[in-house]
Amino acid sequence: MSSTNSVRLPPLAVAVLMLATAIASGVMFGRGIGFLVGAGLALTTAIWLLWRSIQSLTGDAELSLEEALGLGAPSIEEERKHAVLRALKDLEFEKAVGKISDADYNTLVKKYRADAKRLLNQVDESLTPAREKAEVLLEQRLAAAGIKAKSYGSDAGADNDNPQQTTPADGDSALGASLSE
Amino acid sequence: MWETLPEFGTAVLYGVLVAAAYTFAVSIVAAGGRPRLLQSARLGAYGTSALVLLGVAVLSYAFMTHDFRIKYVSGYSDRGMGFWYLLAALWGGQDGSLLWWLFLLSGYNVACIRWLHGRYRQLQPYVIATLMATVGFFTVLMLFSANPFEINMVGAKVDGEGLNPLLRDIYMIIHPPSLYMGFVGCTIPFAFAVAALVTGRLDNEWIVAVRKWMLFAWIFLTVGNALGMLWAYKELGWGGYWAWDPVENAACLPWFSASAYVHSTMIQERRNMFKVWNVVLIAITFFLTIFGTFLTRSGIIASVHSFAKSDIGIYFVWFMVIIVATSVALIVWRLPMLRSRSQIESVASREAAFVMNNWALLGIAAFIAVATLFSKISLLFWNEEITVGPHFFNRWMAPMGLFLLLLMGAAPLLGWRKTSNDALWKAARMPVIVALIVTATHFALGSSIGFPAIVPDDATAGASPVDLVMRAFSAIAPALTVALVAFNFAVVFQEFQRGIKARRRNSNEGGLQALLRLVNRSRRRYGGYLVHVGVGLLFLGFVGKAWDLEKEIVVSPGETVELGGYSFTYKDTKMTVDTEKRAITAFVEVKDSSGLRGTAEPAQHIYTKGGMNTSEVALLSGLRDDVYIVVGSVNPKTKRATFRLHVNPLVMWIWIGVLLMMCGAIVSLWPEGSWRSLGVWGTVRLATGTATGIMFAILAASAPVRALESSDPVTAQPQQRLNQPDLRNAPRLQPAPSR
Repeated sequence: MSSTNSVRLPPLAVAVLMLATAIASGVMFGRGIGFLVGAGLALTTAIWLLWRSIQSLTGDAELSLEEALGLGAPSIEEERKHAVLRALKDLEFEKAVGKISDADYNTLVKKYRADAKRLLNQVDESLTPAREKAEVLLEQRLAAAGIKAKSYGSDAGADNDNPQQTTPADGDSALGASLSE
Repeated sequence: MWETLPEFGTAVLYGVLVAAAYTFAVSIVAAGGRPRLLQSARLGAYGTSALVLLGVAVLSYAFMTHDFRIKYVSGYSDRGMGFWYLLAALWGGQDGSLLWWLFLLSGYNVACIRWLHGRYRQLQPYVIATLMATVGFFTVLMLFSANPFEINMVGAKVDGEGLNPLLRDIYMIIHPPSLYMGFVGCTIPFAFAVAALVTGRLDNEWIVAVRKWMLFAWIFLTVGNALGMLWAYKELGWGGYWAWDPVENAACLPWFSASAYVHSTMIQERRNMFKVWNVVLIAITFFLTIFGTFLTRSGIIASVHSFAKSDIGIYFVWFMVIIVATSVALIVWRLPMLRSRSQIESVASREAAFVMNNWALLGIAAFIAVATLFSKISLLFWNEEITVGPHFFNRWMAPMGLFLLLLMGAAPLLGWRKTSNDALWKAARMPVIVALIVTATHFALGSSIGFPAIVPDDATAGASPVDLVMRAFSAIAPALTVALVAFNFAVVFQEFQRGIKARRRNSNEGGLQALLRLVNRSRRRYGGYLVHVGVGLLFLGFVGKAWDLEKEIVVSPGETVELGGYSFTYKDTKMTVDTEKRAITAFVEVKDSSGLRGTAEPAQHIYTKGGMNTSEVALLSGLRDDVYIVVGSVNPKTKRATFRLHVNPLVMWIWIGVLLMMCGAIVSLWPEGSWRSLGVWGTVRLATGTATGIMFAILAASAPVRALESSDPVTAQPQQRLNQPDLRNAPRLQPAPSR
């Protein structure tokens, strides 16, 4: 991913800007010209998008951070977790308004809570390698900036007895300086 | 360059086809788990949509600059039309409306793909591929059968033929786009269903997301159909709002299956059941949108809404065959995964009620479809073309509709899995008592206020057992409808009351605060209940037809006629002439028991070019009655005139009901979380829903529009473009008993 100093407008803002340009042209020079300007902008956009698509296909285009994040997606377990939590919420409501018997409620809530616990553990396990990698990278980054990081892993108990003192302002400016590199 | 603008437009369509094909291919390859290709497919889909926008912009430019080299532009516009009618002419004819469909589909594609950002990565390639296949179909259709950029063989005309006078109305600007938004929106759930079936990702999560897309399309199907009803009511002059015209029927078919789906999906979420039902309902809904547009465009069934007959039908037939074949193949392939281990344990359960709901809604859709196509079916089997009319539809729709109304009220009373007799009685007690009290009151007081509980059905002839049963049912239908509407309102009231009570048990909230927080926390549920109230009001409006009155009179100025508690005094007639037409406007003073209700100004417009006559209805709307007056012939010397007077009770409640249905659906769709977390799609949904609601509210409130000349003052040259039989003598929905 390349760093860039240029301002990137959100796509919706670009679309609104283009629409505004077409409308303004229509108001100033006539409706026909407005639609012609709109057509021109649409053509430019189409060519740009299709060109970027082909570049992406051939690997010529760099992936921006937003695009890379967009290619990621919640795992199946995360999606199922949302469904189970939603079901639990509905169940609590139905119990509150008396639409479900106590026996059915107890059976279902036990099942959903077990599912939720299992899924949360699975999600946690699947994220653990990435989390550990991120912590290592962060420690390296902070060490390079001269800040000793607090550990939140298995050594948390030991570290809590002797918390590392940092000066917030210094830490922030050092971290800010390191992030802007 | 200007000489090749039509060719440029056609080239753009070819560009759309190539881009859609490219994106389709890339998506299929991306399904192999290559993220870069997925990004490429997304960009390709955006690029395809931009090309469609280009096509629409070019055609719009052609309209605005009166480029009569293009056959479509010369056929549906002229130099005298104003901006909004020129824009509306984009979808006024066959070719342009297909481009408009493609444009709306492209908008949906952009929104869907943007929304998919970071979600359902495994489904994305197939969703994009399915959407591009649909884009490809419509593009092929235009390129080879209905090209909006086709040039006039005789060369550029001096002036165009203009828009049919019946189409020069604000509803022309809003009704087709609304309805198309509904039709086109059903493509997104279908794309998801195909993707889920192909990948085998048949868990419940995607169903939750797809439900919101279907609900969004459902809002527009509701609004679009309601606007069509409003337009017919205001414009066609026969006193009714639904004539069971084939195209009207085709437009409402997907509404039924979509309604079934938005309910049925809840069962899959809660009980992991109805997976087969849900994918079938999604496929049926999409199929019906294509079927509906096929009926409108192919000309196989005559209709006032039909486009001119063309050879476009065969393309739709093949597309429908592909849809059915693909859907059936995928569902059969994935049947083992779709089958549920759970079963319906009791008839007295929410699951059973939803199954009945599914069957009832699909049954109604099937009945309407078969009855609409009956002329072709009878020709095929019995070599005789038998057409069924509005009376047949009304006769059979009444019991089916009332069964649905009963289910709508009963389902919320039932619990999941099973409901004990005690629990059922506890839940149903209050609504049943309310319904009984309302029924008793109706029987006791109905006749004295002009709404008798029993209305004999004089329209049904015959002495067969079926005729006797139907006649008896029709007679008690008004009482039954009012009872069931009251039952439904009581059920919804009870649901809100229970919810508020439950909240206040655990908090110190006031009633209003508890209500607002209750709705906020369970938007889907309480939004749904609001929709149910809207449906109840709709039925209340429909039942008013049982009590409507009609009278045809011939009177001279100064004469007064009484009808249904109103007196109608014919004052005068005025003739005005402008460049496009002669307008004969009558002035009729309408009074009721409380005094002057208003002055109605029905008119006849006789257009100079083509000699077409249109009736301009005078409508004085109220919560109780609509007074609806149509003027026929007027003797220019004596000013003796023929009028048709209608008193249509409770019609206003139809529009109020639709408004409430929309509001309820918007509450259901309201994104959860804070404003900041709304995101792009949440903002678009919110804005679109709110805008649609406001627009419809304004229209419904302005329904009492007097017969006025078109607001477009420019010269028009109308010509018969659509099949336009004279509907002034069209059969009414139900006979009017005398009070």
